[in-house]
Amino acid sequence: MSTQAYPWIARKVADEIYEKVITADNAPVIYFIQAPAGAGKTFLARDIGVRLGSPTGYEPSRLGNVTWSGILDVYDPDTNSNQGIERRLIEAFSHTGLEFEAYHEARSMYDVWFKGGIVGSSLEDQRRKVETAFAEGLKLASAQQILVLAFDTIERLESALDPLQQAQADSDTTAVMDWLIFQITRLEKGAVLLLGRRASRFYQKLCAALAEARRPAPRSFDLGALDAAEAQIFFADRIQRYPQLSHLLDEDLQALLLERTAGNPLLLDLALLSLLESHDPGSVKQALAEPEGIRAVERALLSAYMNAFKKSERPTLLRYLALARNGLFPELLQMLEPEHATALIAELQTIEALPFVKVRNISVAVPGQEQRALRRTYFLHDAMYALCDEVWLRPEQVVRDSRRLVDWYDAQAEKQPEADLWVESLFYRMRADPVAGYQWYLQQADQAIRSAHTGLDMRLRDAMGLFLTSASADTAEDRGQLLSSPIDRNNIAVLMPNIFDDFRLDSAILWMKRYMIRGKTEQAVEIGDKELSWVEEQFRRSPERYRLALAEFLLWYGQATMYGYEIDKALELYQRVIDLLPPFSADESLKEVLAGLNEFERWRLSLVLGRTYNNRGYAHWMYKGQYHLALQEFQQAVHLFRMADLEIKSLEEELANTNDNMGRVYAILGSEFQAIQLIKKGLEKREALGLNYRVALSMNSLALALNRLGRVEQALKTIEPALIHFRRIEVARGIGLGMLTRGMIYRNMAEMYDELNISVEEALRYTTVAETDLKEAVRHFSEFVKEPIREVQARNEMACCQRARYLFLRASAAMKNEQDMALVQGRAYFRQAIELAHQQNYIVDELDSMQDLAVLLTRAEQYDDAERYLNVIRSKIPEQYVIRSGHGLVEIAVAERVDAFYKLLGQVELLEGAIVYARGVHLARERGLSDDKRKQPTRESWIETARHYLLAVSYFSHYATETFVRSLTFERIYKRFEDCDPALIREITQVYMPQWMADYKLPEALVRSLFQDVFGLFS
Amino acid sequence: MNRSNERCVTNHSGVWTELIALCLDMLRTLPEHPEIRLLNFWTYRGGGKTTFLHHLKAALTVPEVALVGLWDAAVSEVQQVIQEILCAVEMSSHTKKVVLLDNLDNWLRAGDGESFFEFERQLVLPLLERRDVLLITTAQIPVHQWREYDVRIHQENHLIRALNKAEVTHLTETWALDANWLFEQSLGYLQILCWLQQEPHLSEEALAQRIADYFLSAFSPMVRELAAVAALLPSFDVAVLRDVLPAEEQETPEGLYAVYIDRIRELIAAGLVAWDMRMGAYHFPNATLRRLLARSFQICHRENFTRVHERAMLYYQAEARRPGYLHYTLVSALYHMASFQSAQADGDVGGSCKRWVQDHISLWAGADWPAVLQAWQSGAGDKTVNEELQALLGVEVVDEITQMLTAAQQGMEVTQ
Repeated sequence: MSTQAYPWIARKVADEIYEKVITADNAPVIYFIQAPAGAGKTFLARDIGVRLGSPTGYEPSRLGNVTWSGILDVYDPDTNSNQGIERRLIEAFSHTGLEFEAYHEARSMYDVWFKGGIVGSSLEDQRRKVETAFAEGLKLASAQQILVLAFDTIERLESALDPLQQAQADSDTTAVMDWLIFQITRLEKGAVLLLGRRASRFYQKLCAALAEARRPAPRSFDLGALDAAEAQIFFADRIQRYPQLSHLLDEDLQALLLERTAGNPLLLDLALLSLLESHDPGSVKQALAEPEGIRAVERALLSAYMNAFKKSERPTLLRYLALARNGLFPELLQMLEPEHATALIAELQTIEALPFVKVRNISVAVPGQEQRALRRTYFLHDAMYALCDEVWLRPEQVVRDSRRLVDWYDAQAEKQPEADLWVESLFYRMRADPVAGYQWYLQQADQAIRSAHTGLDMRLRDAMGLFLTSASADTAEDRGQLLSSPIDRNNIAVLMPNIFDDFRLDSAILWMKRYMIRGKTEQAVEIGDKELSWVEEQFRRSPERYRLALAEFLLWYGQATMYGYEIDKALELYQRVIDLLPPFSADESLKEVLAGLNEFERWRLSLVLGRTYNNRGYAHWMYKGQYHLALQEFQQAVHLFRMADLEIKSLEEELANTNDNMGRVYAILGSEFQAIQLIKKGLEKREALGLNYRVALSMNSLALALNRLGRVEQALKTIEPALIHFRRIEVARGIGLGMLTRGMIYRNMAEMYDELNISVEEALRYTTVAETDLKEAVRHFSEFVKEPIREVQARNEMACCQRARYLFLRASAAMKNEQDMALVQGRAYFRQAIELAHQQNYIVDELDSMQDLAVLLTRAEQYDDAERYLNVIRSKIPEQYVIRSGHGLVEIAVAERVDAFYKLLGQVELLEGAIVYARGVHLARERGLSDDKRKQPTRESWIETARHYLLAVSYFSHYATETFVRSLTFERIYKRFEDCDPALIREITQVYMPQWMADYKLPEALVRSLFQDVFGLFS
Repeated sequence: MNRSNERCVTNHSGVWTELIALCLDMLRTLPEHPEIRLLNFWTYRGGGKTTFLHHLKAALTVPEVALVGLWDAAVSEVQQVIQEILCAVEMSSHTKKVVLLDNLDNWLRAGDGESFFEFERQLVLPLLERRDVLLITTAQIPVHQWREYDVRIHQENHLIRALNKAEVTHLTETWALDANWLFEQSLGYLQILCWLQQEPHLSEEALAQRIADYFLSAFSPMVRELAAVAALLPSFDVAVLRDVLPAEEQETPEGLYAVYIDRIRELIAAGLVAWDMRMGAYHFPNATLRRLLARSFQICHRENFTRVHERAMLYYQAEARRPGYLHYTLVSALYHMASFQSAQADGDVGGSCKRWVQDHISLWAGADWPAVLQAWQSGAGDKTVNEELQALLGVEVVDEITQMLTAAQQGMEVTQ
């Protein structure tokens, strides 16, 4: 296309920039060109582009060793995201095809990760790798050529920010603005043109970043009015293009036009078009003489189009251009005007020459094809949108007509779900129905965040920010700086006046979610701390409006706090969520309430309350050892997710997550069926949702449950493919979890060598393998992914490996030195686990590790040390958990009860029984009652051991299933007592047991069923 | 030339005096200071174009002025007219010459308008250069399509308005018919007066049907339908048309704009409808014609009349919730509310409208009150709308609403 086809605006500054740009082969040159609407910024950029060989300036080109990026308008759908800009710059700058190889690899990895459901700091690290790789790619590309990058409409970068981000000093490179600054500061040479209206925040941030990077500051230009020489060229050019103007444009009129338009080229062009279209120079002159003259002239132009009676296509198209803010293109017209599409599409091409029409080739996805295609898309000039909103469109009309645009986008998205369509449609949704549109946005943003689709999330956020800028009060003194639309201002004032407060509140929620999904818990907590009082104030002001929003805020604040290991504070926040929503807690009222809500509200309520219960369950299970309470919470969560009766991905994911958690807890309690079924259910759901990473996490959970239930070989078969997946995608957290689980399985296999019928040597080998896995797990959870609870678990497991090793080494009569080494190493690992757990206030894990250490000490016959630990455990467990003579076991409500304490006390009693027995054997030997061949304790020790075992069984039975209790105790009791004199056993069971049971107030059935088989005496 | 109109008003002076005076004023400036040398008088079919020219012709019988002749573009070839006029002008020895041309827009409408532009180049330009000729034309539309700068700056368009009550009384004093009744039935539109003169016993229904047929017969049924409905709206746009005239029965999916804009374009071309720059909406530039068509619609389609006003009322009341656009929508909102309630004989029309304003005025903070008041007091730029509102609401209520709006404006000024 010939450059002559465009009404050109000659600017002197273009020569200066061009000269500088083509010689920018040392330090990078950055031009920051600010000007009001219509001053000719885009034409300036196009002028430079054309000089560099681009047909219209928009397209990339190469002239000698200078490569032009084409104009990247950050308003355009395909260049308003980091990835979109990356794609376009690579197309322009990749000369050898290899410069961006590392970027492509990093980007592919990132895409695979988030599509598979990977979240957290690993993904965030990968995202940083992507942008760094891109910067490296630019550096490589610039080694051979001078790169010239041009970005237009940059003011949109800062108006797209949400209120929360505007208040943040830190940069976040998921947002285009900070990403761009990051890339610019890493450029070693070349030139960057940044063009737009006033963008002070961006400018200041860029200057600061460049200063920090020790790069030259940008050259700032205010593109002002045409000066006399430029104006002369301008008029001469227009007269040449439109010969009719030669009669109309006398010197007086030129001077008047320049004065009234303040030398703004777009306004000049509009006025000249008015002259041409209205055929009424008298009225144009007259209008210009009025104080508001130029606006009257602009109106006259639109009026002339509307009154044209030869063809209806142009007024029709101009209306569509005014309506379709995200661009008009043939496919859209086809749907909007099925009967007139052909004529309208033909007319589209003829209006390209109008000075207020912008035409760009936008890269779009094509259904069924991998390759994107360029779509010729038509826009009005920004200033023209404002005029049309004022003169042509009416708020209610825009509400109604925008629905048609939304219908088209929905129909397209149904054919091929595509991020571009969602992002583009948001503006129209907000216009068609701001309440529904905003709710749609919140749902889409939630889904984008939870699936770590950062690009989509940020683009949606930007689109919402831009809409709200459009709906904001008009504070610009200069019309040329105006970004808001009277249509949107008026519609929002009437239809959703609270949207600005809503957006601030929801932005806080979304940022907490974003930070958590990126593993940046501290930032999330910071937002919660900072915004809470403001959010509470909104709630006090309008309780009904902000009840659910405050609840959601508290939920995510609570979750961030929980991830920051402030468990009690988190639980308080969760409790506030539940207290805020009291009517929804009871079943019947919930049904009623849900029936009265729209789909969004049902979703939000279900998600908030369901997630709150899930998180409470998680905290009770993971940090508090309250397994039954956790199950109750999970059950409530499942109920809430189901009650919404919505087929929404986020709720499905939440349900899968809760199912998985429940399964894990059931495994702890020994409920094999529930454990396996629930975890498998979660796994199937995640498979159906295509979340491969999460499927692997479910497999990890399944392996853990199988391992805990003693099905070690099956557990190993389950964890292997999960681990392969984690390794393949290189996610640190996944690898850490997989290694931890496999280590635990191998350790368990080693300890089960007898049942598995393997040799001691083989068992020893398993401990070695396990330890290798566990060490890697520790490394992952201490270095790459900070998760102290996992580190505690891994260190404890490493210690347990040494403990098993010690046992095997002793059994195989290995060198004393080797045995001692295992003992010392085991103790050291246990100490590390205990200390770390103590630091983090994980009381259950701390005591668990102590108990495990006591087992090791017992095996090493260091009974005093072992008992000291057992006493510490006892002292740290509140009295009401302990079975006391004459009182029995106090019944504690599920809500208060820490089930893990019963487990610990059971283990303590079991170990205490073993110690008493061992000591009794020594004593018997000393007294000559026993010898090395027939190890028998004293009679008193037999009786005391039995008492400890009875207490152990009682404790275990108080929290776990009978089968599980048997699996924990049966073998030990049986083995211990199989050599006991039957007469003594009879005495124990017939005399002592009843006494103890009466004394401790133990339920007979519970103990009888266990000892019956062991001793065979009750029948 | 419309012979029936001509017959109807032959030998009657005292009508359109201000338009005739305008022509005479222009003539007076010739040849020394001729600012305007081309006057186009426009009105829709039956509005009196030819009659006006004949009146003018009679009024121009002054000694120094030569009436060169009267031509009709509807019946003559352009070249023939050009030659005849050039020749006639050349032959005239008077210092001031007047050329009359009826139905100029016919050439503009024919094909791509080449005849019109030939006329401009070959006749209008040379005549303007002479400075001693006043060219007076008529058309159904205001003519703006001149290409030549010199033509554009020396031409003006003026509407041939309907006759006022005094003119009708004066015109019909010999008709033996009640002048008030004649004015009420015709609203001063010449063609209707002629029908009534010839058929004084024409029933209300028959007259209504004849009005619709006469004014809209040139259009396709769809355009007719749109014009008939649009006449009920003082101003309108595609959005309200979509509500009041939904294209429900189409087999193919409905277009959003084109089907309406295409029909509107035909009405613009015929001079029935124009875009009103101040109101940002379409309107009937000839208010009398709009009112005649509206009344015809009311009589012929009573139920639909109520429905259209109801839908338009709902649309404009919804729009009127936005204070920033109130100056564009208030008049229509009240007009349709009053029309709807009046059609339903629904109690105190004025009272309801007043209450509606009272109920909403507190929500209109930020309205452009001077513009709102101006729109209200000018009937959105159409004084006949004001008259209709006064008839529907009562003068008192109109005044009370004016006071409320004035108070709101003053309140705003105090706040500022």
